[in-house]
Amino acid sequence: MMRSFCVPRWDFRVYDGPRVDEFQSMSELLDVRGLTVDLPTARGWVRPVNEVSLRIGAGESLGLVGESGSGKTMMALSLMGLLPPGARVSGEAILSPANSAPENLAELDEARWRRLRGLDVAMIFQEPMTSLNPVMRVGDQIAEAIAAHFPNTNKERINYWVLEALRLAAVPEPSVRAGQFPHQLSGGLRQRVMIAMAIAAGVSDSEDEAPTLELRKPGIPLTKPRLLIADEPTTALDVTVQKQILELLDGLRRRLGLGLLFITHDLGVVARVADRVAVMYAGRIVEQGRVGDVLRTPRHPYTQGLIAASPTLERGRLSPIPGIVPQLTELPPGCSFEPRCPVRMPECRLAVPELRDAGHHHVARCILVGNANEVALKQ
Amino acid sequence: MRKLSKKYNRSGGPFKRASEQEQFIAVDHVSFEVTQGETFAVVGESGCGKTTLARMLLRLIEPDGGQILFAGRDLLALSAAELRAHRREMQMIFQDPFASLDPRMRVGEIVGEPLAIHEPKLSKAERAPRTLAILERVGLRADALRRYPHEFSGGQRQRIGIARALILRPKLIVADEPVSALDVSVGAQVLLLLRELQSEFNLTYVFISHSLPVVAQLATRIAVMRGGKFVELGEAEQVLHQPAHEYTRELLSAVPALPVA
Repeated sequence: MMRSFCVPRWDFRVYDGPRVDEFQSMSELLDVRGLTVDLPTARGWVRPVNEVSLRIGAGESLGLVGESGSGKTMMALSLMGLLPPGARVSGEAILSPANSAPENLAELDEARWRRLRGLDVAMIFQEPMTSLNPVMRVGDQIAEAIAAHFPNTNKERINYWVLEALRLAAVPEPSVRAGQFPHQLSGGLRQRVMIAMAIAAGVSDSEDEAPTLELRKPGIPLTKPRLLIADEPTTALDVTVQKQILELLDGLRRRLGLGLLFITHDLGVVARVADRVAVMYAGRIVEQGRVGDVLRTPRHPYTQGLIAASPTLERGRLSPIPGIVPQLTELPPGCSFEPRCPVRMPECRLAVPELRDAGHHHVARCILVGNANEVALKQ
Repeated sequence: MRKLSKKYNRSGGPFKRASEQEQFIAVDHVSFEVTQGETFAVVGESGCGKTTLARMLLRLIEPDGGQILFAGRDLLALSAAELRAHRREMQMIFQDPFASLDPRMRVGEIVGEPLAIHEPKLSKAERAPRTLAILERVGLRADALRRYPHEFSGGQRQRIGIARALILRPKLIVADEPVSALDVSVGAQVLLLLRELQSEFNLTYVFISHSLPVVAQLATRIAVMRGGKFVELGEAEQVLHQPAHEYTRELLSAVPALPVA
């Protein structure tokens, strides 16, 4: 009996799900417009998220890239309603689950958040050990996540969905693992448990659909697409485990039609999991486009610098970006990247550049984009 | 040319228990030589024993057996006093620039402390110019001397750690994951700084990392470690581009690569 659990039912590595375009034509999941977050600090208000606009379709994966202090984590927390107390949010973040009314995440009250969080929006974090309760069996923790949204469901039914969620997260021997404590699991397994917990309530919400998930044909997403936010989920993991987790997330979003917001500082990881990428610097998106376009032909000097500073297996090509990420309390008047920029000009200090068209679905916040001398100046 | 060589036999590591069967062998009979001026990299995943190995090199963890020959002398046979004298030749750079600096000491004291210990005859006034010189060399300004670690960013703190390691002009630097806690753009700065300092101060590096791309930037030779043993050891180019061992190939293929422009 136990043996049958050892092999996950879906092998996501070979699963060739629907392409992004199919999903995009289907539905838009998240539409963020001009989202701004202000935080009170000892040194006055700072703005870690500044007029951010982005979209994620069902089944689509958007990579959000930035260094520490870029605002990428605050961005994620604002989409989860988990900002620190006192934070002020303005702008819009419209989440449109397919069969319920759109919600503006920027102005939900806590009661609404409690219904949405974990069901329509879920998040996984960098260090699974600190997010899991160390004195509670992981199965019970997942059950808690489901019961929070379906309080009237009986225990057997919930347990069924717990195992189903673990299986979806490709946890081997789910019934054994469900009875274990977090410290008994390896880092990779813990992250799989976190993923299972994040999707658990969502997959359970299909009781009135097909009897079990396995009867659903590949490629047909849940009728109610959901947003999964992953904040550096593989940073603490070894590369071989990282690879497995990335494959799992990639398979899940295609399989379940999840919209994935993948936050990372690692461009190599982005290249592997994202359809599109948004590069954040000092609270603003400085470049956005399809992942191949942005990484092959970056148009913002910061993106170019980040690529040049990423170690590869080839020696000698490394060139760092001088200086450090600016403090949010001491941002330069114009372009935030100007003090570190190799191609800065006096005009850069005058005003924050707008996002300029840099190609098909590709924008960059640099006044050189579209300039006739762009290529010559960046040499 | 001087040769550093280090050998271990049966090194039980930190998890040694009373019963022989329960023993966990963190580092298992590892032998290698490091030649002066080279960068010897040890790569492996978490739990492979690479950090234990690094710390044993400096006798921060006592090996259970084997030999560490440094310039012809067996470090394990040294008395405590002799070892202290030897330590100035071998310094360590740590992973976490937040945890490895005393938050209550000024940067000038942190960097100058090794001088105060190893050259107690020097007066404070004599130490100061050397402290300043090394701080400036690693790219910090003079006003850093009187400031505290928390006032600095991660990259700057790592520079402070490097300055402290270098002030005694050591021959060997053991760097344990020196850039893995840093942002990409800052990590690249630190890697290039380490590369410059190596030729300038004629340093020998033992570079411990989980990341093959990071190691590729500096290493002359690479050892791939797994389960307390080296599964592959060879010239950097060879290991990176013509790996012999299955595990090395697995590690290489798991590295997320950027698309080629």
